[in-house]
Amino acid sequence: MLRREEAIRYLPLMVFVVIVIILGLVVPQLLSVRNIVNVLNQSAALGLMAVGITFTMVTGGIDLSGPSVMALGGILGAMVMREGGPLVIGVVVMVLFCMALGMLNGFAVAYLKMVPFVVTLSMMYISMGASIWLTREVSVSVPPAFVKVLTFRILDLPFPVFLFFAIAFLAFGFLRKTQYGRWLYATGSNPTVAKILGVPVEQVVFKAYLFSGLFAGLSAVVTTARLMSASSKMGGEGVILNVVGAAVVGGVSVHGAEGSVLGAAIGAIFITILENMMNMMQVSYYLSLIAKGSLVVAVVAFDCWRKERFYYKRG
Amino acid sequence: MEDWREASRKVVLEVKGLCKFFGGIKAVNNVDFKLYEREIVGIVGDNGAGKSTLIKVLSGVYEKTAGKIFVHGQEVEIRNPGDARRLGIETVYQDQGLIPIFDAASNLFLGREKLQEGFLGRVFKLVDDKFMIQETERTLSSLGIDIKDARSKVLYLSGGQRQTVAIGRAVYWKGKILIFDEPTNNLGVKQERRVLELIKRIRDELGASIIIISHNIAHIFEVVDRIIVLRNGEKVGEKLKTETNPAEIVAMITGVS
Amino acid sequence: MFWTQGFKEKLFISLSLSRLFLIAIVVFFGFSLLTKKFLSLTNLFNFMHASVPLMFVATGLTIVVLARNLDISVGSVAFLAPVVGSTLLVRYGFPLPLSVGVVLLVGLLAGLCNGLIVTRLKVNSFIATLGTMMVFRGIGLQIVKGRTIGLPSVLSNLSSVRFGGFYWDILVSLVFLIFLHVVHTRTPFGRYVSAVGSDPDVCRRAGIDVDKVVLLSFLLSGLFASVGGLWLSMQLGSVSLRMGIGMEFVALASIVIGGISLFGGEGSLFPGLLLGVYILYMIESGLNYLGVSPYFYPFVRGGLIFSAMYVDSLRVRLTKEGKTSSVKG
Repeated sequence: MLRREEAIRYLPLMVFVVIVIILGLVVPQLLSVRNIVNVLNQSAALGLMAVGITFTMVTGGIDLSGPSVMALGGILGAMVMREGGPLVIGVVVMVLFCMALGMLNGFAVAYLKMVPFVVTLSMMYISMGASIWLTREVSVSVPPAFVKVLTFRILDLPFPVFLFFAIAFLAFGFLRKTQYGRWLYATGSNPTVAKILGVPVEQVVFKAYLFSGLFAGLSAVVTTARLMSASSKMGGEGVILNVVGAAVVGGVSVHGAEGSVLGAAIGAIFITILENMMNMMQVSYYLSLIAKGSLVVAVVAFDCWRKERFYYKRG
Repeated sequence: MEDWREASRKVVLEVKGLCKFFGGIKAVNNVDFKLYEREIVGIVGDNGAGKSTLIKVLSGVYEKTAGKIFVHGQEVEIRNPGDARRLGIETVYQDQGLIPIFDAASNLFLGREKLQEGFLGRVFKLVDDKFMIQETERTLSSLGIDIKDARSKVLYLSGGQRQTVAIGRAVYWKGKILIFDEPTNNLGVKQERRVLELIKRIRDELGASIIIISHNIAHIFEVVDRIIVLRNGEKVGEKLKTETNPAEIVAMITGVS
Repeated sequence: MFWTQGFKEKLFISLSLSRLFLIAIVVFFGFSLLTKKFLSLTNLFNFMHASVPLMFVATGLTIVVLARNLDISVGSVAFLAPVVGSTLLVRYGFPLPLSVGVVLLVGLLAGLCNGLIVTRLKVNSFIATLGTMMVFRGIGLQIVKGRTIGLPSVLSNLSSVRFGGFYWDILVSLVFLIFLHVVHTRTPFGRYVSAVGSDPDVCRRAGIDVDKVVLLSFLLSGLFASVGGLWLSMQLGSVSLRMGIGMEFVALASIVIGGISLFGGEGSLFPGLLLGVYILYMIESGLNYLGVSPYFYPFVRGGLIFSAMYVDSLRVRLTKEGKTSSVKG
């Protein structure tokens, strides 16, 4: 079903799968059910954000504010619950607040026609600043009930893993089979043509950032439950690198219109495994930054190279 | 230009005093013309003569600065491509206006996707791929093209096949006024032939009225009934094909007589 | 009405510039009214002095932005370059001039790295510099191994030399700015930069070596970022772990406020960027005097960026009449 040229897009991902399999043969515990579930649990938060950023990347833009918006949303929700608010309200606050910020981003990019990178970069710094200001660098703890509810197991799978899978597959289906999905990819491929054919390009882009906010909000819920607290560190600078890395490794193109959310989700799992490996090998945080930064650049360069060779061939 | 046919044939599209200015640039300046039922009109001119701008106004990509447009005798306002489409004006653009990573069916229905019936379908606006692919295959084969794999991305198709998909889109949506912008650009000789034949068939079988823009005089002479010449945004000549010859047309285009 | 379209553009641009002057004056006097301390020459010199490192960084970054690219690694370069230089100076006892030379060299190398990734590997400048931002910071952090490096006091003394309140480094930053401004307006390279920023395809067809121009712009950005970092560490008297974090954001804010378009091609270093940096600092120090907590600065910068970008995109829309607009990033 996939042509050779397209399959090449997934080359980094396939390399990763091969590496994991090889490692699994060397260290059997890696492929044990327990460990797999563990890794999936860890990558749920990142995976949700990677799915979100895919929506914006498909339009040719990007949302850099995901992690910091997530942190801020998490902090607000945690504070609400700390003051005695019901758990449901806490969750709702997290999700809705992140969506609201997503709407701000979307409005600026789609209707005010501002550059997505700078808009979301600004939002990133603003929400980071807000997080630090609100918490004075002290993390906000989350009621134990919240943690318990959100980490319960269905079929022996922790809830976050369930959510991650469900969202990934739902989003995949959504983008494949709905009108909005078609419009999203059309807009990313050629917004001028799409607009002439009647696609409401501005609405489509706006919603993409709204979705990005939504998934950031879900990620906030999952992360605060796992960490049992919310802090400004949740949205630190290294996190966005992980998110972009996950999407890019998963085959999502920064130029738009290519890639799927499933790829991004798998990319997130890969990045999580990579982080774990680097931890185990005692690689310093600093070196990991170097590694991940180079990885992102390398994969995107590969994408550009693939495009050039590929499109040139077709003429 | 009096013509014995004028009395008996219906005017499908009429343009009076049409102007399109970009600041100080008069891209289209006071152009009049009529388009009759079942005819093919060729609009020719040098680069910058205003051909592309004129049809962009007709197809709604640009909004006219001045003048009147009449479709089937009724005065209309065309402010965006949607307006044009609603009036039955379908355009095949120079670069085909296709999304390369989509298949033929998705391209045909882009912006006007057929949604699935049923509760789930309506809530999430699920697209009815089966329907769209069926319709696309039907349309394309009626145009004489056998797309071996209707599900493959159009960027894998040849130039001629892509052009046919673009034409198929205009035809499927029942365009009664079809505009072709440089339909034979970037095509091989055999494909050019196919496209020109196709255009004639569309006129004959579907009763459409067609405007073709081209800078290839030979192709124009092959298919059109009438030729309109633009120069510097103004109409400088209008002739029945049978009453003129390429040399005369070229002279009108360049202004050297 | 032949001149109408061009006239509209020129009018808008001159309005933008005079708007800058207006804003600068308004802000200055506005704050002076609010706090007595603001309206004083010493205070003026104080914040001009504080803005020197940023001025360097933003000056170099402006060239990249004019060429329609972004370089968000400048903060990390401003960190890495002094790290290398100070490590050589303090830990290995290199002579001072050599260490300074190394700082500049690191900046150039970083710029080269960025430039090559963008021009040879054809990676988008924002993704490329996002990656290098992390890589450079990682390298720098690895070198200092989590410790702050203190600089000899002669350096911090040097940076605070003043003549009756007027810090000499303000002059240095202005000289660099004017120099680059002259390069931008008077040399072929400078004109190519703006041309490439307006329309790279047209430039390519006209025979301009777009890649070389872009590469040079990144070299300048890296070099100036290292100078900025150098000066910052001199002012602080040390090289600390968090140095330069967020600097790219502030630099971008001042660039955008200064009327330089993120879409490339439009804008000037003088008076544009100069005013942009000073307005930003004026607003921030004014707020400081009013007792507003520094935690609000990101909001201020964000708000300023948004307003300036909004005006910028308005300008783009107004001068592109008749074409279907696109929403691509």
